[in-house]
Amino acid sequence: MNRTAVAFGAFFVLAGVAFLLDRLGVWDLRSRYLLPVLLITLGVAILLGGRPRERS
Amino acid sequence: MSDLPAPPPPPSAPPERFPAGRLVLGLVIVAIGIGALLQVTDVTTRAWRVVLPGALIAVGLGLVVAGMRSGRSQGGLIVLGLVLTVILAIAAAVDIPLEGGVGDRLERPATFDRVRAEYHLAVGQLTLDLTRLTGYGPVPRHVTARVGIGRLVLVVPAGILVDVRGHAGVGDVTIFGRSESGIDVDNASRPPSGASVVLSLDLSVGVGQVEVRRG
Repeated sequence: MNRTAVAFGAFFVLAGVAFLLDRLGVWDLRSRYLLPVLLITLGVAILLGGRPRERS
Repeated sequence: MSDLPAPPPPPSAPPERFPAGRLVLGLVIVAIGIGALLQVTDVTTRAWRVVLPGALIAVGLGLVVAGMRSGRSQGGLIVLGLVLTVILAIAAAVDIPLEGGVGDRLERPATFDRVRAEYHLAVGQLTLDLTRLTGYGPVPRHVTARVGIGRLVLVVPAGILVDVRGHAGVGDVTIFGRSESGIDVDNASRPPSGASVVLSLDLSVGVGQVEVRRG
């Protein structure tokens, strides 16, 4: 299993749903919140996607 | 008993490759093609609202499935997802409508009844010339015009009262010679309260200029 791919995939699915709701007018993405939320989510995705260190 | 060494075990079959990248890329291209076809055939210009977010969701699902089925790197799909995310984030941040087509467009309705409630252009210049209008109605007509990237020009007839609000994500908004510029710019021309307004106009560009002048 490639945890990095799964973490990025989950992030893209959530981001895609958020953008879709914004485009359809269901949910208004506020520009001032958008970049921080994207950065936090991307950082969490990278943290979760990191491979655990193997013990020597 | 034979002294012959035991035959080597047959080589194990190579792990099955899941063509996630090719599959998702194909789906994304097909979706963008369908969106373009719907637009050029004038069926709808609103397909773009769902095509790019849908493509991002497809990329994400492809990555999740591919990541769970194999340990192979999916760098191409991750890059594609990041590019789509950046495009959609910019479009959402400065409120760029990804619909309405590309190019220069001139709208010149001849009668009040032919004025549409909404005008959209993704990229280019949209000119809405209302100087030929006749037969104003008793109720003010509300018109929304949006341009994603480019210029929005509105020419209103002299002698009628209009209520105009202009917005630019990045750029400038000039209404009857009074200009505001910068990021997240708003400008307006409000008639005195109680005046009989003929047109109520809501104009916006994502990146570019809004200009309102008398004809």
